[in-house]
Amino acid sequence: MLLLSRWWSFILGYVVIIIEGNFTERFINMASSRGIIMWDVAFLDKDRIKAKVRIHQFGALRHIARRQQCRVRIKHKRGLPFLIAKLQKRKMLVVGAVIFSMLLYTMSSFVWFIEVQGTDKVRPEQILTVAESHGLKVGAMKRDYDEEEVERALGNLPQIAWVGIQEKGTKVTIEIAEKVLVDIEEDQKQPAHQVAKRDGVIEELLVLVGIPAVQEGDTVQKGQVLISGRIFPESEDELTATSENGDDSIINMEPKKVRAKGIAKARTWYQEQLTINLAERGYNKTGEKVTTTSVRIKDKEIVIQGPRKIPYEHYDKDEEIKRPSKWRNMAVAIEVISRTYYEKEPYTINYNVKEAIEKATKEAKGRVELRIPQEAVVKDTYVEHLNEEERAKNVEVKVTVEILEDIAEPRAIH
Amino acid sequence: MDLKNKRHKAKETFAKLFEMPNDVILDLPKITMIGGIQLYIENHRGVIEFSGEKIRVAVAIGELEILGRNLEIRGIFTEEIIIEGNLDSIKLVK
Repeated sequence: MLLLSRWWSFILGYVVIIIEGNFTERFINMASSRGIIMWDVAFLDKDRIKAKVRIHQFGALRHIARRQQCRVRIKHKRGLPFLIAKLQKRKMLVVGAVIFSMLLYTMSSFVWFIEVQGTDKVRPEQILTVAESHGLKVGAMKRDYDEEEVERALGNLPQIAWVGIQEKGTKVTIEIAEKVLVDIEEDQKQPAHQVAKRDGVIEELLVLVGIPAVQEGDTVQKGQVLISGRIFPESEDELTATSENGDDSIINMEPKKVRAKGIAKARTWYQEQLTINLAERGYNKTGEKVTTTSVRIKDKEIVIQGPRKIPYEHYDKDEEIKRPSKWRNMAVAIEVISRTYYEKEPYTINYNVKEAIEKATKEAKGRVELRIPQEAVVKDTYVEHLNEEERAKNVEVKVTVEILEDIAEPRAIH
Repeated sequence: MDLKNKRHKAKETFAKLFEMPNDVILDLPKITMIGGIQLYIENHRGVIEFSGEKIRVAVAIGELEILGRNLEIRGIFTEEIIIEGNLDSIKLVK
């Protein structure tokens, strides 16, 4: 109560007074009986005491002093009202302080630095120009541009894959991730062979540019040259079969390098093997969950919220650790960890053999289909059953899909 | 005097009957001391003598004499007085 009243005294203002007279005790009694609060009453010497009193009660004190033939003298004036009065005399100082804080506040709402990070081929100036056209520039107010809008505008640049804008105080960092652009036009002029991108049997070979290196009906392996990009000016026909075998030296003629073009339709096979247990085991989430919060200081961990023991037999766990941000490279060894436990139940489904085969076949087919190129033509689908002696426990199926696809892909000649 | 005594007796009986604290009914001083550094007196009747070594406080049943060093009145209100300093002795003089 006393402490609080001291705060009040400061806010309301008080005076330190010296009371001189023969009957200082009587002065104190009279003051207190009239409800005047005095504190820190100290004895200085005979007939002289020091005390503190609030300013609004000081007038009444004067009156008592006169009656008790005491003299009251103000030694100090303290508290907010006096402080304000003092400041009023030094108006310019107050004005300066106000201007300073206003200026600081206003200045901090502008963007003063823009940094572009992550640029390699794109010039930072270009980024800044685009950002500026959407309001983000040095000297712009923070509320005058929309971060998302600038991000979108920058993201629309053809060379840029991702843009992130971060605001930290008066500094804005534009983080750029450039698209890795293969120079397609340049690349497409390079001389190249057409090679097989996977194993297969050639069904149809259409050569637009270059010399065919295989025939229809040939079995080819991945990487094998299908259409050669090396053209020999004369007696091409003799060389077609051997052009890849390094016989150039015998002919002693410089081959002309071209970019081979063509289509090589081939039969290819995609396989997928799958085993399914007749008894399928797994877990289902029940939807129940509990969250605990704990504090870790060094090696000790204290749970401050939630149950100490997880009430579930089976569960999944999510953990989130919060650490206080580093302050001048001083890491504080305290962490707040919140964990969420999701209850789950084990289940077992028993299939009969027929069901299991159906399920396995369907799944295997689904997996194959994901791998087949879209423009391919499906020729045939085979389903094989493997390991039939294991039928008591599981079924194993192998699905093979035969398709017709263009397997030619360019490979540069070096 | 006789009347005053009777009234006092009545008050005391009242206090006992309703199990109320004596200081409330009888206007008795309640003195709380914290170590040898602070003294808290409720229901005081004023300061009789005040110096750095000796403070005498009037109460309903007489006076309290406090001896010590660097004594100060930390606060004085109509009903309460708080004395701080190095307290040496307290004497109740009836």
